[in-house]
Amino acid sequence: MAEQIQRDFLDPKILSRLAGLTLHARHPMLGNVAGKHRSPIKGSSLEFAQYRKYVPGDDTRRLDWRAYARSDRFYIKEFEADTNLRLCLILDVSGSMGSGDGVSKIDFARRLAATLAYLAVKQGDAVGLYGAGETKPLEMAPKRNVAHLRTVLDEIGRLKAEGGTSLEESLHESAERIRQRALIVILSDLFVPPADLKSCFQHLRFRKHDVAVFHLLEQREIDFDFERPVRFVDLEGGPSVLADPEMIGKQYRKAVQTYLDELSVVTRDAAIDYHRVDIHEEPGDVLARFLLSRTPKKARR
Amino acid sequence: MSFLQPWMLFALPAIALPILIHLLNRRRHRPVPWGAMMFLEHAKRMSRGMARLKQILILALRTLAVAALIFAASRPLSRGWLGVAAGGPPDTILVLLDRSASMEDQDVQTGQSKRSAALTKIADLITTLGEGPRLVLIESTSNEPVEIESAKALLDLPQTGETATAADIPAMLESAEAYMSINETGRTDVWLCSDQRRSDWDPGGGRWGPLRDSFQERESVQLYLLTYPEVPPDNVAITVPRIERRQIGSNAEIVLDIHLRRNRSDRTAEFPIEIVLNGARSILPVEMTDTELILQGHTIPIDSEIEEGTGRLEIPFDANPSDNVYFIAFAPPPVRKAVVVSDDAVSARALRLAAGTSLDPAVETAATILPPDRAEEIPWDDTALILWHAPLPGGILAEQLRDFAGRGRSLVVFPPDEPSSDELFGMKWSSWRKDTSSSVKVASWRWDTDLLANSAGGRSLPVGELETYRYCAVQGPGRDLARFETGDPLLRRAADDGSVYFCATLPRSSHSSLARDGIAFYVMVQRALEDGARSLARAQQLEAARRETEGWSAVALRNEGAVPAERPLQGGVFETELELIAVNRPASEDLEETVPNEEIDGLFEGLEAVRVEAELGSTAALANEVWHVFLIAMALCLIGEAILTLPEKKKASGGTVA
Repeated sequence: MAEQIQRDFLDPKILSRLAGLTLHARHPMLGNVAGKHRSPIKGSSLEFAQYRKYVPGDDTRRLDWRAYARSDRFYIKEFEADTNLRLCLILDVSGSMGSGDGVSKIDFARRLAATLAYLAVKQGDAVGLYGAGETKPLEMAPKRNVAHLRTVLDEIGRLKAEGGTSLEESLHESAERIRQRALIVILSDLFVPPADLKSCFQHLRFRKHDVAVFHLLEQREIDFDFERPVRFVDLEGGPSVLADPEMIGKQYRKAVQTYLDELSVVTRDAAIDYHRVDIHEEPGDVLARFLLSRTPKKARR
Repeated sequence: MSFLQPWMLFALPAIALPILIHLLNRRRHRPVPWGAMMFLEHAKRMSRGMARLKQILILALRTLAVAALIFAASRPLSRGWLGVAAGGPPDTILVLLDRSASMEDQDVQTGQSKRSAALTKIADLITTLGEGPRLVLIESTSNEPVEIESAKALLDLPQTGETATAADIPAMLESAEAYMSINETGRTDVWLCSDQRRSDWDPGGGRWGPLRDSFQERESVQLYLLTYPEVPPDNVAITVPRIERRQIGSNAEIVLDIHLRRNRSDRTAEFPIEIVLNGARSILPVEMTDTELILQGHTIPIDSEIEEGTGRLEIPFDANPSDNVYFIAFAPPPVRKAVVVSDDAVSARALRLAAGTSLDPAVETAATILPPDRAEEIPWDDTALILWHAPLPGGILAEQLRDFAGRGRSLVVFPPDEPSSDELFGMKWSSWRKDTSSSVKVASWRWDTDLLANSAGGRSLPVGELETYRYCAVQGPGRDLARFETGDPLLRRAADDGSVYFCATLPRSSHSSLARDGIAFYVMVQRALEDGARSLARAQQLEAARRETEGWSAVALRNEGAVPAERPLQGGVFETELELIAVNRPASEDLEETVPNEEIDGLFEGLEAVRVEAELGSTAALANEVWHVFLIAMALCLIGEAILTLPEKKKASGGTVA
């Protein structure tokens, strides 16, 4: 009997709200089929790309005769080639993603990932899913058919936050395995030293991937506004820590601020599309903001 | 520090409450699933030092605040510099008050004497402690314990007023010890107020050892010594050691030896001495350049018909008013009668000659010889001197001689031909020592005091020229006034009170040159006679002390307002049917030498004794309620705790997620 997967992370209201928005890549993509995204290879879309001097062997049907009449030189008129993209969703499934007051980070990540996957397949893009965690490595290569989408959603539903963090290794592995250019969306709390993340991001960028990061945090993780002594239970299996917020609050906030500042520098330097997200936000708002920020200016008009 | 409500101190374990609450609070933690452990561990690592210190400080301040509250509720008493004495008020407080004349040293600014300042401090202390403890006064004139109703009464009682007496500190402590022993006083505080004068403390006396032992045996006795050792500068004291009425022809005069003493000599002081004789006033200006000024033989002519009279000598007001006046009384000198008891005609003749010859025509002397078997016929009441050259008597005659010496008369004992083992005044003769080959010289003698002292002009007696061929050494306790080269005494004064002397040789040519080189012998006998005659005189000079004064009527008083019982203690001139009595402070009260603190500490070594050295004019109380200090301390602790626990300001920038 097949396992029944609840897909309550896929909210129809959000889907209908985002139906008018398109998931754009910030960089040219190399797809297999025609799509909505720019390709580094010139093609035959309606969108003019550039003039190029004619060289022998070029298709004479693409000569621009009007330009020849004006300049007495042969130019080839090139158009943008539209192609599809590969959307690779990398979900951090370490134990720390299980934290959250009411809504956990993994729940929130599921919603974002599922919605993005749905939107991508709907616009003809391929979707792949990768899990970043110590336990049960997950790797689903991008495909663009609906059946694959169903499988992706099922896997998203099965993901559990457990074990330690192996985000760095997972990102490096993903950078190696995803050979073609892709839009890589990382959903994680990024509880890794920013210096370590830097190499991961640079690796992904070196492979010419368009990288977007949803940094999932809770406000209390920044404010640390506890009043009584608290036993902090490590979700990744480490020893619990009994701490008096009055004693360590100042140092904690200072450490968080330093971390965020360093992370900001790292993501900016690596040209990462970085989004810090409070998991208590409305996922639809987060995604709308994300999609709009990626929409080309021309398209936005 | 002690407490008026010490039972509140049982709540002291409550100071652990903040720590207990802190520990309980730590146990009441709730578990929170947490992902951002990397920040937590970093913060814990970074905050290990300062944050822990801060927390310890907060806990310490909370603990101190509770402790301060408990201490404040216990009503603590600050005893200034006394240190810590646990427990509440004592059951009994014994106040030992030195009322000697030297305690009247005053602070010139406030006019408050040492005695008054000490009483005020003690009264304030007892008032602060509450009226719970039994209060007992032992003052130095009587050394008798008197129970006092309230602390305020201490200031008003006649028994705490000024006197011209000396004090006997060991006797006061003995009285206190006896009182504690008889009355089982429980926890007792003994406050001894004194000015540390050596003459009053007698630190070399033999009574301190037994006193220490008896106090050491007592538990729950705390000794406090409230002392005023400071001697005020420029204080001048006047005494008149000699007053004589002299008749020369048809003229009469009073001869005075005036002695002025002060405790600083770095500048010259000029002041007048006011002399009042029988109401006639005269002024004698003097100039003092040193610490002492002796005016020897100052004469004041009087009417030749005036046989007797009284008066006083007074110097201007200074730091101690009690030694600014000296009362005098004069009367015709009595006939100085001497009796020679001897059956040795040669010796008796020499003795009678020495005793019966006066150089001063104003002084009448008489000497008679009685054989030893008629010694009972001695006129005991009129005789000033007995020269006893006979075996030492026993029985009634010995008792009569003791009574004779006890009344201030003089007795000089010479060795009999055949000494026996009988004793008199604890002394006895050994066998005669003969040295026919050569004479024995006197090796040393007391030239500073007593019978062989230098003359008033400072010239020494020719004692060293005496030659002794035979002598009979005396045995028994006493003070040697002259000693042979052999170490045996020539003249020894018996240890008992009274003027009793034992001379080791006889005024015979076969025994010594006492008669041949007669100056020393004559002066010795005349001085013994003068000394013995002093108690026979109508005009008496007495030291102020508590004594039987029935029949005394006041002629002149230093303090007219004093109650009758206290008047003889404060100085003045009194009259009885037989005598004119001038009462003055003892000469020892003019000696400013104090017992050093180290020596005082040594006297009380091993006892629970605290010395409080006070100064005249100081307004510092011996004890104050200081609960308000603890309340302030508590408030400061709470303020400090509040500052340390203030929530930190959160930075506005970069502190939000989205």
